[in-house]
Amino acid sequence: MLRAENLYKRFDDLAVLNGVSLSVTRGEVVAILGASGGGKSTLLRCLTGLERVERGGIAIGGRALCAAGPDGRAVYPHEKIMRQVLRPVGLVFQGFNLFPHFSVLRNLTEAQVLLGRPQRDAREKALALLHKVGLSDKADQYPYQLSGGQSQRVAIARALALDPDLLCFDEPTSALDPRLTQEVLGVIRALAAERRTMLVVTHEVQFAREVSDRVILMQDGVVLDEGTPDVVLGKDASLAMRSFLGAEPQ
Amino acid sequence: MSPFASPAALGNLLAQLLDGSLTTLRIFAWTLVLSLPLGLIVALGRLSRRRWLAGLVSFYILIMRGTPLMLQIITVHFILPGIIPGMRIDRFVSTIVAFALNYAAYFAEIYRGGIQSIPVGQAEAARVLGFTRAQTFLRIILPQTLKRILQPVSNEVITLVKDTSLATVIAVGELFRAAKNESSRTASIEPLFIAGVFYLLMNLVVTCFFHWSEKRLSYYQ
Ligand SMILES: Nc1ncnc2c1ncn2[C@@H]1O[C@H](COP(=O)(O)OP(=O)(O)O)[C@@H](O)[C@H]1O
Ligand SMILES: [Mg+2]
Repeated sequence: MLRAENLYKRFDDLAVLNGVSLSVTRGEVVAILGASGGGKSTLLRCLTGLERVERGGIAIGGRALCAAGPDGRAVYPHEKIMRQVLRPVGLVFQGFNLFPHFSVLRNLTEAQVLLGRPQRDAREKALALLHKVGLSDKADQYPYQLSGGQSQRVAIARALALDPDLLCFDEPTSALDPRLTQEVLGVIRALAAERRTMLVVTHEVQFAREVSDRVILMQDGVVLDEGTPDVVLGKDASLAMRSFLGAEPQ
Repeated sequence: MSPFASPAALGNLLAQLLDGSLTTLRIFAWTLVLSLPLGLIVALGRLSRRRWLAGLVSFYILIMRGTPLMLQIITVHFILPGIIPGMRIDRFVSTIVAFALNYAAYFAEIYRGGIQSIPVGQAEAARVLGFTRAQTFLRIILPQTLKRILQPVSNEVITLVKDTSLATVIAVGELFRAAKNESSRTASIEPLFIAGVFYLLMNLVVTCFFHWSEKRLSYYQ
């Protein structure tokens, strides 16, 4: 579903991705762990087209978002092509980024309608998704009327409305207090149970262990460790993982 | 001879002032109709990633905000017929051109501030949902900007009501000129004060309109 090879990205003289490779196959849930500042958000932003890598290649569903040219530099196609390639990818942000001037329902329908779905179908789909995330009663409210947990569930529903083949999450619960965290994790858990393809950056180690098929540890722009949660997070965990888990409040 | 000496004199004064007010309102309306959209184009130019364009527009804004509007009106009035051959000198047209160019610069800066105050997450969320750049701007950024710029725009519009009096410098017969004429003719100051009340009434309407708009946009955030 997703294949990224040898990604390099820097901001001015700060090297943030230093040769990251990653692949996600259909139906797989991959969790990315790592101390903050390690480049996790930047990686997701590159995979979803919000940032461009300098070197390396990214393919989504077999189509190139960017490809390494002869000199190794990443070459991106025209904006329009990029939009098509990125069409099956959804992203849920740490800070929700709901559209405050739209009702909850319209937050879910707008993109669908722009993609050419009839208003009625878009509305039906939106209502079904709101039901799924437990917010049927909020359809006509505005984002400012929602709690953080509700906002994030709406944001997830908004991403789902476009039927993404790959759904990415960037620390979806980091902006929430513990009580609200669980309601959001519950929704993601349910999506994992449906075998949806997901790439989840999270600080919730227990949650990663529970839902993911594969765990990746990222630090200083490289993948330090990778494998099934049983192995990577088990009693034979690598030194790098141990030091990360030791620093992370459990 | 006070204009209040007889009902006829008062009637005549009010007729003069109302006639001037009509011109004032025409300057006001034309300036808004032209400068509100023009300001958006200027703002987009100012925000352009093309350095030369942003630089050029910055220079334009600097001139428009940095020199007196009265001087701009005079300049346009004497330059315009030279630029557009065959155009006869029309005081009203010169006034509108100068006002529109000047106010577009002020509105542009307000728009720019508003656009830049929208969190980048909004455009990013739209982008990952497949919005094009134009769709993102028109459906996500611009509507939210509207709410944020209402206050500063209302300030400018109130200033515009009063600034229309500057057109008197090229002898456009607007409210202030009419009041001044009546004042000298009758050797009294009352016509000027009555004109002041007229401006105040116009701005009362402007203020009400903006309060109403603010209410209409208060359904979110
Ligand atoms: N737009 C940016 N400009 C400059 N530096 C950035 C930008 N985005 C991220 N960084 C820097 O890149 C590094 C990695 O950040 P990030 O990808 O957010 O890490 P993580 O998500 O793992 O915490 C940090 O040092 C951060 O300050
Ligand atoms: Mg991050």
